[in-house]
Amino acid sequence: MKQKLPTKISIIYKPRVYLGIIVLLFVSSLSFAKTLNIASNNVALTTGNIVPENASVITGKVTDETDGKTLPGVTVTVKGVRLSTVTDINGKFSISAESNATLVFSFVGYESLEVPLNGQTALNVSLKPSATNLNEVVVVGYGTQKKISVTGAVDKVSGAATVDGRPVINATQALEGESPNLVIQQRSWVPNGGAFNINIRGTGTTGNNDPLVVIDGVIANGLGVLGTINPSDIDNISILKDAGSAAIYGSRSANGVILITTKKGKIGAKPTVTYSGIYGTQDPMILIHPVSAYQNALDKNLSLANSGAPPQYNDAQLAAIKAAGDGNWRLETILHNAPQTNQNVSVSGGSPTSTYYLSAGYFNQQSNLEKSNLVGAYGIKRYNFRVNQTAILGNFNTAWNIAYIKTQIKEPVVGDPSGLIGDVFRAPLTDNFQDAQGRYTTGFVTYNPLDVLRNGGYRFANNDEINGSFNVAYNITPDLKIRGTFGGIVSANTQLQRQVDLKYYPTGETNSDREVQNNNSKSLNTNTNVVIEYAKKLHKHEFSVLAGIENESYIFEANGIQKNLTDSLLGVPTTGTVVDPNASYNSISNTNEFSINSFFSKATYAFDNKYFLEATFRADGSSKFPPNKRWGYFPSISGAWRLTEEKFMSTYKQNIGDLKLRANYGTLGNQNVNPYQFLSTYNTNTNVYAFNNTAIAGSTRNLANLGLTWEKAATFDLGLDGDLLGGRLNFGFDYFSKITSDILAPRQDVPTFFGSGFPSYNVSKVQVRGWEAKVTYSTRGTLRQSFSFNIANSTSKLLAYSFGQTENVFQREEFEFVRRVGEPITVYQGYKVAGIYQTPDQVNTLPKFAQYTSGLAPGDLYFVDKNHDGVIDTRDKFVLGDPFPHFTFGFNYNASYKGFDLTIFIQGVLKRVELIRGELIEPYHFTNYGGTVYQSSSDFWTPTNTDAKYPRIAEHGTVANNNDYRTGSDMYLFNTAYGRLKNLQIGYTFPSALLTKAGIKRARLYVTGQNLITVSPLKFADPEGTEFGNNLDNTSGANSPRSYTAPRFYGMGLDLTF
Amino acid sequence: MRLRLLNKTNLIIFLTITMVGCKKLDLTPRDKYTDDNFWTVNANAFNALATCYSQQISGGYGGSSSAAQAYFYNEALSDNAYCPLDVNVGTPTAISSGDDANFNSGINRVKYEWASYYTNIRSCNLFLENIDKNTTLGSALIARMKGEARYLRAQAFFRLTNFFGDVPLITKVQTPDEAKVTPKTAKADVVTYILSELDAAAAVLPNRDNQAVADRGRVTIGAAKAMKARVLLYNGRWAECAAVCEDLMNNPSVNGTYSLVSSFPNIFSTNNKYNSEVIFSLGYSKPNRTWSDWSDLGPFYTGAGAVAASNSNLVPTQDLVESYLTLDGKAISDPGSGYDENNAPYANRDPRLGYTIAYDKYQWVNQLGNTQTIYIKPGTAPDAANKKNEYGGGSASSSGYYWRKYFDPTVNDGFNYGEDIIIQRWAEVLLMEAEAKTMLGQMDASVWDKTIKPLRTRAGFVNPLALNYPGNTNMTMIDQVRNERRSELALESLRYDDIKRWKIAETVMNHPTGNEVRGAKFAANSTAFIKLVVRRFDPAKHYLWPIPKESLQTDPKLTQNPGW
Repeated sequence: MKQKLPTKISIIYKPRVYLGIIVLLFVSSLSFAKTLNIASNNVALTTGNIVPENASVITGKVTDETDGKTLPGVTVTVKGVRLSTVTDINGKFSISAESNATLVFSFVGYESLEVPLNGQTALNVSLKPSATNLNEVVVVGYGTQKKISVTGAVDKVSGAATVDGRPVINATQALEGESPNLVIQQRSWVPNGGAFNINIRGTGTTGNNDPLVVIDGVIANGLGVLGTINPSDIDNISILKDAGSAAIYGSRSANGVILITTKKGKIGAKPTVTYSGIYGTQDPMILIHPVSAYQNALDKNLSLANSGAPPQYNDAQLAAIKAAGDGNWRLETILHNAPQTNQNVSVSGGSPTSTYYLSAGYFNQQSNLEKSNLVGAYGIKRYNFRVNQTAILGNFNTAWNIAYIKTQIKEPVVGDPSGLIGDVFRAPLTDNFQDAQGRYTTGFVTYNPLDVLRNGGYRFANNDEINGSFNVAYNITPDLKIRGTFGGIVSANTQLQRQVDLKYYPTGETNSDREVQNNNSKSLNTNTNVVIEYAKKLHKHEFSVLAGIENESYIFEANGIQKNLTDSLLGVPTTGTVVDPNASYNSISNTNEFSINSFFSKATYAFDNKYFLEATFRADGSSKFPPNKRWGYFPSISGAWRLTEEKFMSTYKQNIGDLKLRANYGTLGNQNVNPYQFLSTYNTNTNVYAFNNTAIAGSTRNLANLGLTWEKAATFDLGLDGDLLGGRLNFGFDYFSKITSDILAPRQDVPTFFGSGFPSYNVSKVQVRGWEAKVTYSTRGTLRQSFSFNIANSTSKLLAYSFGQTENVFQREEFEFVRRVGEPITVYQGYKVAGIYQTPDQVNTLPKFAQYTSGLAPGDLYFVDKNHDGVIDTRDKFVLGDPFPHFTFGFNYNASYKGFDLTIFIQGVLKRVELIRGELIEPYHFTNYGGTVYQSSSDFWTPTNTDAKYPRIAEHGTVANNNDYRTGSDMYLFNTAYGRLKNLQIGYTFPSALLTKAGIKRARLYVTGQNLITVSPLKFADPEGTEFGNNLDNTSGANSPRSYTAPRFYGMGLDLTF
Repeated sequence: MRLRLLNKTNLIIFLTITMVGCKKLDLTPRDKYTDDNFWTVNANAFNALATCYSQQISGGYGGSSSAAQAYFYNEALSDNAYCPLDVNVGTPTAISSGDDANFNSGINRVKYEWASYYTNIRSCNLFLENIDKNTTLGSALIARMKGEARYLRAQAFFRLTNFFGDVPLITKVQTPDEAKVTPKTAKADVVTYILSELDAAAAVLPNRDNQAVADRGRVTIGAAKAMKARVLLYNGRWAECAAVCEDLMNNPSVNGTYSLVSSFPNIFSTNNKYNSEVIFSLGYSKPNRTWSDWSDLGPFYTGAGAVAASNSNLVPTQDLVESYLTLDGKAISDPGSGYDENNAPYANRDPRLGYTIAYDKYQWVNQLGNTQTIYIKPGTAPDAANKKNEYGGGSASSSGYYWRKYFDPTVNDGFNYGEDIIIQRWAEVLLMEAEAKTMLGQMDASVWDKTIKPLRTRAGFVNPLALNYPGNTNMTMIDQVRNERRSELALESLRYDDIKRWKIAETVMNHPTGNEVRGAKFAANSTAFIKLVVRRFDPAKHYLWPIPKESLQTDPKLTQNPGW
């Protein structure tokens, strides 16, 4: 088979042109970022390539030596020539080579094999599985590295393992549980892309804990790309956790780095078309159930009786409620099963000198919420398109990656929807959403969630994103390379929000302002770097040096307009329509920009694949800091020792396996602070006063922090990697310690008669220590099995808070969220319940709050008198717990037998507590707010139920209610440990003989489920939920889980390869 | 080799351009001025001064800058009003409880009250220190603007001394380190400073007659002098106070022409802003700068298009209602007053009672121009809508009274009021003159005829016994003058200061258990007065508020007030 080869093009001998293009891109990127004047870039690269003059096409097949199975994906290179290909799905390859050339076959998990051709044009080879994955390569900062030489804590996660067959909504959700100490919490399950906390190795700072995300070598600002990238396009993800691996990213690295590499085609591979699709149903798992209307009325009368008040319902009314039965004002009425689908098609392949990967993805997750009559089903749709191309052009290696993403989100306009769900929770079951005439009613609650969902309007986000990168590498000499990368992310987001006036029966109105609002924003994030790399191997010594410069620039601009009192049907302006001056804004006052210039370098030395040394250094200058504090310097040093390469360990190596010890230390930075805090600026506020009956503006000065600078994290890591059982069982263990200083905190050491607020100062200090372990095991043979298990823990400790201040206590509702030196960065504080009074004698004698001299009775709580002074007061408060997840784990099991396969993925948290309050716990919460008792809260004390979980019920304002429910105690503390069957797949791959006639190479049909089983002591709410963001900000709102439920997904999928 | 050479050349070019191309890192905000360029822009100078005006009363409530809320709810610190909802409105009830658990140096109200005046003072200091950087406004205008800032700064110190006694006297923009070692200055010295500043302001400010129309609402010479009179009055410097009042009364050509507005309710209407009686007020304007506290003050109205909400979060007390004289000029406790507690308690009373308070069967003219009877007595409302005002219902008044003063009949879009809130008005000058003269033993028919008589005439008294010196009550003259002040100025945020400076707070405030602050006689089937709340005013400590704990902890030179 003679391949059609492109003709040679002379341009490749003119490196100047290429360098010119790099320079042009670099310079234009800089002008982009500043002016947003996108210069016309008529960069047109013509493909070209070189092949040996007298080459012939060599074909063959690669198999596994142990079981004879064909091996797809094996890299086949012509030794000494920059040509390579990869075996196809049937293990076959074809490559052009001179007749006297040597072919090198390499594959992860197998020992490399060199075969001299000696004139052969067809050859079949078999590879031997390797005990150690000597050649396995991982992506690290600004390059790749052989896994054995890695000195830092780097975790490689395969895209296929996390995504294939799983109905994941985005890359973040896919990563949960995949890597130890990559702690991901899904805070909201609303189908809008999700709200996640991501912490790598715990909470290292009271500031922003977001890790850095780098996609195909381009630094992204923020975590946004994790939400928009098509998970199916991900080839692999590297998680850089310590100084040894992350310090090369300097000021952006303190929270760890997530490096995403997207899929590429293979050199010389024939076009392969793959299709994968999942379709299924999301079942809203409603965990909370109100007691019947009748029981609720009885309990209400009891609550009133306990409060010394007459009953609300007389016998006749009770009988009527009982006869009428339950209404439909409950969650089941507004939440329904909803479909979700992920559909992907890709084509990949390559010529001898170029590769391509094209993909299109469609994701549609409908909301469980009742549909809108105006815009149909709520939910999210995402369309992903990607083109990844590489080409070898002479001594140049080039790569283009471009992705376009459209995301469309439809949401109800009022209520978040936690407000809506709260309004459903609050009303007793005597209520119905509609009366017999179909009118939307109000009863206990003055809004009607069903009407709001159906007719109240909508919020429609329509977001476009293009992200991409262009890379050129040029070999100046075989050892000296220069690489340039230019890339960026452009986002243009628009949102239309419309509120439709609703009138309820008999009273009540929502959205009477009939607001129509448009918000638009766009952002540009550019990243340019140039790297020079020199590598040399001399006998057993391997050196490399890398140096680079980089700029990252970001600009965000937004504007919006709101019109009120619009036409009630169309939302267009009509008589009386006004522009709302407060809700409308221009981009001048909604711009955020920064720029970072950087120099970085890295040197490595290795001896005999046994000893490894590595040092990195980075200097970052950021526009966020004042000129004299602008530059930050981030060094690291690390080393590794493969013990089992030593002679004295040879017996161990032969009998047991490999061992590698790693250690590193370095300084990482965090520049995630608000810009311009180092300048004394003036805010202009409109309408602060009036003269001559005309409103006027005022200006206030913001005090500057002239010394504003980076957070710095001194990080130590000690790791051990090894394998056992002839390489079938791999394990890794890391211990780490990180002390972050110069964390920004507010200051309160100045008397308030100073008369001005303060910016934040670099004064706090946090330590985080922890460990992580990972084990994988696999078997070969007819029944192939593999499992991997990871578990990790980290604990933070606040070492310093602010000038002369060692704690900050924030009171939120009944609770106290405390930052205190010596404790984890945020802890809960409150009273401990000692028991429930059972006798009047106990009421009289046991310690109690001084203000409750009368009004307490059997059934009320009494608290632990911590200091034994006979009275309960603020000195009796305890630290009740740390709300951060501890002992997080993931367990993955795969098995295949003949055509069948099974995947089980379990993720969870072994230790966490959470304070949860509100109507789900307190019957008749605040009397006017809540009108219900739930089954989960109905175990309250009565004279006949003395062994109750909760105290007696009484109306808001009574001493009993104040003592029992308004006191922040561990009655509200719940154990939120959990284990969750995140994914279960059972699949069948059809025999290829059956398929070849239809032109199909591979077909797999499977059933899949997500969140199928959750085991947790917390039964009535999602144990993964949290009131905190990723820094446990202690001014967060208390959690009354009025949230959208965590849905259970079940469906089926089909994978096809052509 | 030529190729090599080209590569190297290109490499050098490449690197050079990269170095040069590194982005400038000196980004500055697009939407904010900085110290470098702020003061030279004329509009900014006016904006900075506007901020000083806007912070005059900034509430003392965390997260809220509603001056109106502070102004009104302070009435509940006194015997004039009661506040059933305490949180978010400055905890007046918690404070008047006198309970250490609710009123101490750590509570937010104390902390914010203190801090908000110092925020105002810092803004004034910042303005005064920087305004000379402006070279285009002209020296005359700058001098006048400085006068306004000095008035506002003096007023803030005055409010501080009323609450806290001795306070740090900060007359420049401090650094944090300076603040941490600032001592208190004796109240007498602060007062001396306030008076000299008010004199200095008066010397450069225009009067209301020659003030430009666009400047209406800014401080005038009249305001500076009236404030000076108030400072002197509060400090018992009667002769000086009377002298300033008489200067204002006798020299309108210098100080501006003031007179009483003929209709009492019109003083507070939007359509009567900057009227002849107003000396200084908090500036509001519809639709952009409004206050909305009326929904907490007034009754519920009925009828199509009527505004429906009333939360009754601040209500008048029975004590205030009882303080109004009869039309004959008698106190209701005077023999022969004809007061009929059970059948017609509100009949035959000082018309200002009805201009200030809405009581049972009040004839309310709502914003639609319709007259509505306000049914408050339980069981009297003719229908469900009217029942909302009845005592005992959900959001009805807990005292059986609503406010009428400050009601703006021109507002028909909710509770967005654009009325100015009056800080000083001519009636107060007349009352200060009357009080100072009485205290000097110089009250006579001539003083009376210039002060009490015109106020009573304007209020609607016609009985000569009430109108003419020395009045028609058994009260002492000073009690009569003080009562006149209470009747005229209720709900104008002066009563708490008055009961403290008269040293009657422990008498009028203290309500031990069993003798709570009273509402109307609607309890127990309308046979007993409503019992509202227990209040305790400890004269040993409550005449001054505590210095906030946070400032004591961060400034070792501060000392706590006695008793705290």
